[in-house]
Amino acid sequence: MTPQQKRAWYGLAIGIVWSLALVAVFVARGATAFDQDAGMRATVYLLFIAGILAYVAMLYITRWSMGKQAVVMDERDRLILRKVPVYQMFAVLMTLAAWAVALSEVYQDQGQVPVVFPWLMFYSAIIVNIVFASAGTLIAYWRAK
Amino acid sequence: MGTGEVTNRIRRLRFDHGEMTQQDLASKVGCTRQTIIALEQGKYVPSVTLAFQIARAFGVTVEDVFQYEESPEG
Repeated sequence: MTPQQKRAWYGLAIGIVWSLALVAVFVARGATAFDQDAGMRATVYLLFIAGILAYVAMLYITRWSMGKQAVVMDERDRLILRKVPVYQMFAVLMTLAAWAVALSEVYQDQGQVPVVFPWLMFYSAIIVNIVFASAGTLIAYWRAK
Repeated sequence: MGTGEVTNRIRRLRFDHGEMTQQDLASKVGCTRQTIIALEQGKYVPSVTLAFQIARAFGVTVEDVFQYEESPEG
């Protein structure tokens, strides 16, 4: 397993825990409560920042644990990883499509969506983008075999 | 011109050089051990730069490490 694959597995684990934690908050309190409940907003923002910090910390810790002289990425890795942005873009587009379909279905009769949803779409796009930086890396290595 | 295949003698050369490990070679040329494994298995063709670095690590020419075999057309 290359250093990039190891990082991707750690990143994926962080991303899954992060996503599940955020989804759990919204499932427990309801998405529309986000506007009215300051406590919920604080929890979501804290979780959001904590996830990003955990991901960045993982990158630094794995780099540090490998030692300064270790080669973390070489030309073959770069060749393989060129495909990752394609997977990320596809995942983000699918996420936005899912949001569009779901919101259209649920709020068709009202003709408008609660203002919280554009923000949730934005946050989810960022999360999916970060999770698929790891998942896309693993897919790219798997396909390179 | 037909398609060809690049083969290499990295595994042979490693053993000829005091059973150099894949990690030792990788450290010498600045790549990961997995890239050396992929090269030895013929799953990856290196850049010209890496090919020269590998040849230099063994003290031989690039042609002594890598061979291009053209497959017959058809």
